[in-house]
This record gives sequence, structure tokens and C-alpha cells, in this order.
Amino acid sequence: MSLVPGAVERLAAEFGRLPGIGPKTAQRLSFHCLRAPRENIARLSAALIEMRDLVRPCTRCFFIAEGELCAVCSNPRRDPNLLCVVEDALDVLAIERSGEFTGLYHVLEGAISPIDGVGPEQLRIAELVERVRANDVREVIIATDPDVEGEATAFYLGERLAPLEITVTRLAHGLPAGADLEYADELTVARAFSGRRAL
Amino acid sequence: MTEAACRVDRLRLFAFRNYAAETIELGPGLNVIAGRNAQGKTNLLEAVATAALTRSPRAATAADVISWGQAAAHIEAAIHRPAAPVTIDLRLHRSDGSERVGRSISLDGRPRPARSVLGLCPVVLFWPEDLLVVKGAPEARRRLCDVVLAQLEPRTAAEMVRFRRVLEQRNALLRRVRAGEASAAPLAGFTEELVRAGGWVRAARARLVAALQPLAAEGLDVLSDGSERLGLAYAVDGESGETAATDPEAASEALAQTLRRRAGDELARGATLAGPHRDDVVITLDGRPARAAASQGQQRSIVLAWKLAEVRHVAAATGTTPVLLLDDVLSELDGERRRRLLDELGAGRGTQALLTTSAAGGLDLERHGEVRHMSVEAGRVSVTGETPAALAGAAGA
Repeated sequence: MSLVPGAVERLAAEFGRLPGIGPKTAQRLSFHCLRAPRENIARLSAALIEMRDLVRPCTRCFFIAEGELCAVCSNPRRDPNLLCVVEDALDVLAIERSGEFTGLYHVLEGAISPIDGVGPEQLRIAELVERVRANDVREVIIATDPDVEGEATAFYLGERLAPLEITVTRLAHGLPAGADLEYADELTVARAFSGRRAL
Repeated sequence: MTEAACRVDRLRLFAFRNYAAETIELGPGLNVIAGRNAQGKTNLLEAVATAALTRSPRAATAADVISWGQAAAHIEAAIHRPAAPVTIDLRLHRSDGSERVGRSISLDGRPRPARSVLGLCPVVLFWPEDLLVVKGAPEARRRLCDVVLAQLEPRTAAEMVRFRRVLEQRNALLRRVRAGEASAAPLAGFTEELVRAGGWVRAARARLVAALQPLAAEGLDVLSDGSERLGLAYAVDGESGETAATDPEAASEALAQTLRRRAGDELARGATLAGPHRDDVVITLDGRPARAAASQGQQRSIVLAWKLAEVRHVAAATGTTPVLLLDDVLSELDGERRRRLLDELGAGRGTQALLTTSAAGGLDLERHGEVRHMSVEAGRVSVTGETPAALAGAAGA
């Protein structure tokens, strides 16, 4: 019944599983692949497999790495006494773009979410506590998302880290610089105000 | 009323309920929508409400409004506002193979988040189900408050969404702890969030009920010949009879205290036992609970008085008279009460109202300024008549 051959539909279905790709874009991508030179397609599929085989979590911070340690952990100029805790690897990239942070990261690989059966044990929290205890960490900055799960996780981390007698701070989630106030949601604005600090 | 009116000039519907593709031009005053049952009268009102609220106030699931077998429903509403006209464009689309519904919204063709639509065109809804609100479950009375607040207070609309999410998470955790599947250690973090959002929502509802109370009492005096004094009070946690604080911080603190006291019960029951999801609006007549004491007629008068209060409160708070959506609520009233209610609502005199009836032409509304009569049959709408006043005023519309 379908106008397009099964192979095209199967590829479109795979594209459609990717985040942010709707049915129309998935179809456009499949048709693009259909018309592209064979060697480009071979390169694309080899790159996918290669990435999947070579990249794994950093053994220390769980950011992505090609060897044992990620690029941040293996950089001797980073301050090992300062840890920034984030939910996932993409958050590391966002913070790195700012160039503001000179310490190391710790990627939790998620946030506490009882609905999904994710508790502290499913996250890299034991590893975090161990890391803080074993190394001479001076300050932990908690940069989980400002949503319900991220806030509850931050609160829990605060409790877990309290006995270690180090400085624990929560990243102030204010407005993105240059953000149009009109476009920021009410809670972000409200909390940016309550989280404000003196200049 | 001195406020400027807001109205819907044109409505275009695609694959919305039983409307395949239809354009409806609405009059600036009373719009009487007649038709037999199941032709789409209520769906028309629902479409206006969905555009104004960005979600249907009556669909059980968001996908219900999408016509059967269609991928997406689309509503375009051209709104006349005192400030500047605006066109709200709302699309609801099914995601492949799931019950989830995606929503995209644009204003004058530019994509915008849902929150930028709330309050643009305030609406006051009146469904036949509302008549059961006095004796019904507390949830119906809470929802009455929430529909108003979502349109008036963007922060409250956001805190309501956050509260629902944290309640779901906290209940899931309590259930898992009770079943021995999880440790209670993360509970405090969710409690913290619940208290913050819950206190905000409680305080907002308590302020709203306090503002509606005198207006509704006045409304009841006008609508009924009786002399009962109507009372409205926002009560925390249902039966306890305690009135909520109207200040969000005080409300949060009170909620935190209750949760600390009930911590043991919560773990035993596996559910969150205090918060805005368990509150109620206590309605009284001369101090006696209306739930037990009010007759059928009194119940109806109370609900009408509440709606009247809602219209006045929304108008005062936004400076804009809301659009009235009255689904089949006039047919039960006798001619005199109907006229009195419409007069009080300002319907047809600067205030746009859409009202449905199955009694074609039997409503005798000609005294209410500009009236446009429409009939609906199987998802097609036709204008069947207009009062001379409307025709004379059409040039300015």
C-alpha cells in the first residue's frame, strides 16, 4: 500500500526515534541519504558505530571519554579541589562554553525520579561521596536542573555531603544573560529574584 | 461596566471534535447557538475555551478534541482586545503511537509558549456540570478556582503545574517506601518542593475565594428572592475547617508543619496527606453548609452567583470584560430569571456571550442588545438571524 519502499520507511522510522525529529524531518533525512553518494553514507554509518564503540563514561567523573579519563579530568590545569555536580554530559558542555568554571565535574547520569524508579542508588552519588572523601575537595557546586527532580536531588546531595564538612553551594539559576524577560517563564524570574545576591 | 470588552470575532476550526473545517463569524453581543443534541453546540464553546486556556477545560484527555482518525486539531481565534487585536493559533497533534499530545501555539503567526496566551482573552465558563458543584466532590470546587487563577496569575499557573509534578513524584516515592522498594532518604527534598509550590497555590486560592465572597453574596441577593447570606471560605485539608493563609510564605510554613506532624501516617498510607490537592471551598447559606442544606433551586442560584462574581472579579483584575461561554444553562431558568441573569452579566451590552440552547428561538432574548442567532448541524454552523440592533452596529464591529 505504501508509496515508498520498505527500506526507506525503515530508515525514516530510525530517524524518527531521534530526539527532536518529527515524521516529516525523518522522511526528508531518509530521502537525503537516498540521494547522497554511497561513500558519504558509509562514512556516516561508520562514524555512528565508531562513536558507540570508542566512547564510554570517564571512570572518574562519568563525563564522556575515549580512554580511561575524559578531557577535563586529564587536564592538569583544572582545579581538583573544586567539583561541579551536573545531571548529564550535555550540562558539562553548557558550563564549559561559559569558560567560567576551572574545576572538575561529576556527572550523576540523571536525577532522582521515583516515578521512573530512579533513586540515589541508580545515580553516581555513592561515587561522588567517595570522591569527595578520598580527594581533598574543598567545594562542591551543585548544578542540577531547576525542575522538581533536579531540586529534590540537590536537596538530597546537600544532606549527604553535610557530614563531610566541606562547602556545598547551589548554582543560582537565574535568567540566561541576554534573555528576554518576556520569554522567561514566571518561575525562573521569581526564583532569579529570590536567589539574587549583593553586588 | 466601564472595562473594555474582549471578544472573539472569528473562529476557524479544523479537525476539532466534530468540526472538519469550519469558519464561524461571531457577533459582538449575544450569540445564540441552537441545534439538536450532538450536533456540535458545546464543541463550539469548548473550542473558544481551549484557545483561551491553551487546553480543553472539559476533555478527559487532550487527544479527545482531535477528530477521530485525524493527526491534529487546529483552532484559530481572532480576538478583539482593547489594546490590540491578536490571533491565537493552537495546534494539538498526536505523537506516533502514544497517547501524548503535542501542542504548538502561535500569536499573530509567531510561535509563543502557552503561558503567553493565558489571560489574553479571559473567559468565564459555565457548563451544565457546574450546577452540581455545590454538592459534588471538592475537586470540582478546586477546579472552579484554578480555571480563574490560571488566567489571572501566570505565576500561579506555573506553580500549579509544578505542584502536580512534585505531588506525583512524592506519592510515587511514598508508595515505593511503603512497599519496601526504596529508601525514604530523598523524601525531604520532595517535601521541600511540595511545600514551596503547594503554599503558593493554597494562598492564591484563598485570596481568590476571599475576593469572590462578597461579590457572590451580592450576586445571590440579586438572583434569588430569598434572603440567605452566602458564605464562601477556602478550607485547608477538607474537613478540618481551618482557613488558609493568603500569604504564600505563611501558607508554606503551615503546610510544612502539617506534613511534619503527619509524616508517620504518610509512610503508612503511601500518599501525600496534606496540600492544595485536599483542600475545599466551603459554601454556606446563613452559616449552614450548603452541601447539606441547599435545595435544587438554591444550588443553582449559588452557582450562578459564583459565576457572576467570577465575571466581576476577572473584569476588575484584568480591566477587560471576559467572554462568557454559557452551555445550556439558561433553558432551565424561567424567562424572568434568565433576563435578570443576562442583565447582571452585561451579556449583549458590551460583553460577548456564546450561549447554546436546544430550544430553538425559545429564549426571548431580543431585549439584550445585539443578538446573532446561529444553528449548528453536524459540525456546520449557519447564521439564521440577527436583531436589527446588531445589523445597525455591524459597521463598527
